[in-house]
Amino acid sequence: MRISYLPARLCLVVAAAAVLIAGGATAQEGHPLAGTWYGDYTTGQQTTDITVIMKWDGKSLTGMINPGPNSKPLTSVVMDITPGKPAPQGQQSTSGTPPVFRARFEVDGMTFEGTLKNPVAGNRQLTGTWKRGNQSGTFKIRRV
Amino acid sequence: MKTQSTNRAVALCACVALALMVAVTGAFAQDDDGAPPGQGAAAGRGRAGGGQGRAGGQGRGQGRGAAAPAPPTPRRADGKPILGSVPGQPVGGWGAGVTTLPQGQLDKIPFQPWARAVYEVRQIDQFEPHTRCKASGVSRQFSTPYGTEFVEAPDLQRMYIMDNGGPNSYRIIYLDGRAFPENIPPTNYGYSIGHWEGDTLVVETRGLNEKFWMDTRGTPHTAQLKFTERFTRSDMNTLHYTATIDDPGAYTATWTTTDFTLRWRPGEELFEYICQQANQGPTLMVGSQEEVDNTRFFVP
Repeated sequence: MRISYLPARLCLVVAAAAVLIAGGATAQEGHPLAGTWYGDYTTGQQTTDITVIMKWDGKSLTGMINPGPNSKPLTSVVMDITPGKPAPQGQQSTSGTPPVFRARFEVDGMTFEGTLKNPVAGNRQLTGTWKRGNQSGTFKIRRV
Repeated sequence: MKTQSTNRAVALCACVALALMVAVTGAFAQDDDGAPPGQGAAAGRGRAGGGQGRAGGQGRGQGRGAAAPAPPTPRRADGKPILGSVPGQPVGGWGAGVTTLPQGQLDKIPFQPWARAVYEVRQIDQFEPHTRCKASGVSRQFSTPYGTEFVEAPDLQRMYIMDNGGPNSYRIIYLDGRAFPENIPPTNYGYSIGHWEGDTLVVETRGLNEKFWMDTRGTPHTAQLKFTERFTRSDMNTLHYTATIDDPGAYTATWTTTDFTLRWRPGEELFEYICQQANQGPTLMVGSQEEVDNTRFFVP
């Protein structure tokens, strides 16, 4: 009887792989924040979708959220880097400690602060918290 | 009875699993490293080339040993050097050479802070698009372990640089004196125009996107990159290569690499390489693309 579940699981795995591959196909490898990000932020039990577009011109970061008639410009975008620790001399480079990338952007009175998860992956994630006045919550966006 | 029945079921499962393993292994064994029969040696050297890359060396350990002086630079009737195979002689290609553009001068490279940090991350997590079969342009073409071939078409006033392995694709270098188009759609290989300066072929490439790494170690770039390469074949077996990186998106100044040396591999023809089957980093193709297996270094 268990075998009857296999095709469905296989389809799920294939579909998931296709989504992942498709996601990677558009991935950008330049500035860690540049690109289009999609995800959501929470307010209590409520979740709100958000699209963030950030651009790097070589000197400064700019951007917007939710492109379209309701888009709003990012009023500030900053990336901070905590240096890592290279691998000791003679050891494989992969034994080093990577730098940590943190980002903060402000839009429509909200301040988002987060940390990049696996910044070398095309579909990297930025997760953290947001605040507006005495409101706050979490957010998670993934670069597409 | 129940135990016997369970044992039979286990034995049956084991047999089925074994049969499946044999079948699957057999299927993949056909693909092996993607090389057709007779090309195994090339693939073997390719992996060694990858090892060189990890060591950051180039022009070393080619297994050639001390040899007689190389024949002189082959030339066309018009006197220009031939960068690829010589008509009338066995075809060949260039072995891997360029692995990391900073090459021993990391502290002298004018990285922007983010670019230096990204470079450092990439030393630890080799999540390179090339490992996912993505065409990777400019200098990355010269570190595919299975070699690179120049195919010159003087009548067409262009040259093709074929990179064997990885995406198994090619770049066109226009040699007809054309100018760059105004708006170049960014691509992995960009738009390359070359001209001769004496015996050196100078190639400038613009219109590059950000979907690849310029070298196996992940020297960062942005779409603002203008990449200039200089190729000089100093004798039959030696190709000198330098690159100048002009990318205000990632660097505070233009910088030039050290001299890389590629070695001629006579008698090695391009072969069919199916990246999706022969990839040495399969987990990076269909895995979560969020985690990197750091237990080994990927140079497919």
